[in-house]
Amino acid sequence: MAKEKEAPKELSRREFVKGAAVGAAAVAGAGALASCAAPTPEVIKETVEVPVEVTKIVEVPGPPGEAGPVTLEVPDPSGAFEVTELHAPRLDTLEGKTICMLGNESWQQQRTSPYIQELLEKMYPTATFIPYTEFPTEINDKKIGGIVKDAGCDAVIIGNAG
Amino acid sequence: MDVLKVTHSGLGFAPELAFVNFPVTLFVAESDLTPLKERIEEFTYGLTKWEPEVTETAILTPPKVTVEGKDYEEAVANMNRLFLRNQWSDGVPLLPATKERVDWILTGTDLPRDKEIARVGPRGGIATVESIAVPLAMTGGRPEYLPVLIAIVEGLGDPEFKTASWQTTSRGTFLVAIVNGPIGKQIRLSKTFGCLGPDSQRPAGVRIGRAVRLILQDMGGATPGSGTMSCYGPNRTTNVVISEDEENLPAGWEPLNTEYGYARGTNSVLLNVSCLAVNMWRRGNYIGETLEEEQDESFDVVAWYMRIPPKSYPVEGGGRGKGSPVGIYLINSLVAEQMASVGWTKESIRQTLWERTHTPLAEYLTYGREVRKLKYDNPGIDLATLPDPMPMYEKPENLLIAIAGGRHPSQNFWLGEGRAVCPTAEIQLPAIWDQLIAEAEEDLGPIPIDP
Repeated sequence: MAKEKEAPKELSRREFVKGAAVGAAAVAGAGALASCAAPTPEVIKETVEVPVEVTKIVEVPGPPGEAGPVTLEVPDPSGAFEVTELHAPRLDTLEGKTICMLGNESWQQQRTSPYIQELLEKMYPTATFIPYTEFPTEINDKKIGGIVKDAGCDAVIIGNAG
Repeated sequence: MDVLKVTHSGLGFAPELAFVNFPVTLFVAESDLTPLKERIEEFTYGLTKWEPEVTETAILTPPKVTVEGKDYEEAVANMNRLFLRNQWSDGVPLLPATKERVDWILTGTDLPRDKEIARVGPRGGIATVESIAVPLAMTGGRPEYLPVLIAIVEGLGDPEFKTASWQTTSRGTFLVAIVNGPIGKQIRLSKTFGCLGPDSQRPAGVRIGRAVRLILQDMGGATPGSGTMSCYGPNRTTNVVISEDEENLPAGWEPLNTEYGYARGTNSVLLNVSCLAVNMWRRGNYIGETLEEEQDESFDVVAWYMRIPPKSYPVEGGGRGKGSPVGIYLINSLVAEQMASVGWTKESIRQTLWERTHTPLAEYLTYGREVRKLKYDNPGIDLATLPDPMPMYEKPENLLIAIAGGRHPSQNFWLGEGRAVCPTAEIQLPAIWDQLIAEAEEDLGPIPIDP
């Protein structure tokens, strides 16, 4: 069982009292010796209260005492997750399709989106492209799905995330 | 690009998607766009050939984890190593969330353990009462902390709070939770000296705050550099979970939660997000001024700390976004008493700081980045027609004031750059609340007296 804290090294009450008794005995002894050579001094008895600090070790219950192998079963802290949306099926080709460019105008989109569009236009000359400037920039708004659908997009390319 | 997968899953998709990943250097001004041309075929692949692995809607529940060791100590060490490898840990050793420990934590609520409280963005992990108790068990929490943590998670799930957004930003955001009501003292939440730091006599805030961190990371998916782009990480690993010093409010000053419709004495939590934690040395060294002068002039100091140029124009909300607070000004109760004694109220403080954070237009126009954005958002704008001086935030009400901190005249604190609206939630206590508090006193000793 674990101890709450290690007891500091210090005088125990027993040791303190023993030491005090030795001191007292030494004083008494000196007084006794002194009485041989000189008139017996007046002994004044005085009761002195000495505060004694006592260290108490508190044992705190720890984990079950297991001397042998231990198996812990704990939950995965990432918890459950629900899949409610599935990805749209892929297109067979981009030829003849309408490709929409979306974005939030961040991270150099004014350069990357037009360039991607230009490259794909050369590869798929029959495809139609709608630039990102034709769509709202709040692409995390649920309304964007309906907007994209109404525009006749067969596919979207979204950027840029940094 | 785990940020994309995590955010995508927050929309209800499995954490997989067709994307083309480029180094961040492509996305800076005047970058070389040649990589786009070199990899253009990958765009075609994503639209025509890519196939997802998950093809059915479902709730995906991970199995429990089993860890072994030659004895208890080794088993716990092995658990912590596993949690580090799986990125479930915050880097500080965790206690095992055994059934016994979790069941004990769950005595802190009468809610059914399978009740869903929120889905934590960006990943959308499902936070039930039980799954919320798990991280609290791991951080060494106690049952009486659970009602506060449940209320915090309820706020995380508020769609207006946009947890997915502030979690994944490149800024160093952290959660701020201000607790009102008698519960703060009962569970030993700190509100005076050292309230934003560790305190072995008042451990609730750190343990709850750390549990929040684990929820945001594990359920929410905000792992450094992959689930979140925060460059420097959350400014505070244990977030801020403190109690307002209601017992020492000056006469006429009401608790923060009353501004949100709660009756005084109601146990509630208010959430905000911050990424700026600044100790403000407002005043304190007597150099001959009167108390009135000291209080008035201290607001000049405070205003300096708060003067951050607005991101949008017209200025809407706080400094960093529409409708958002500019931050939380923490005033300790001694300073609040001094302010109140010479006539200051929360309202007059708000008004004064709003006015004193106004910046001369000529100075504002030297803020190049902000001015460039202002002109971009407002084509053709005549800069000479802008207000002079320029407000740094929309209105006085955008500044939140909470009374907390050590009772000393010299320091206040600024939790700046608030980002979103402030959800609030009432804290629900179990029927055995008094018993839990009594048990806490047996375990931890009498509730400490605040200095």
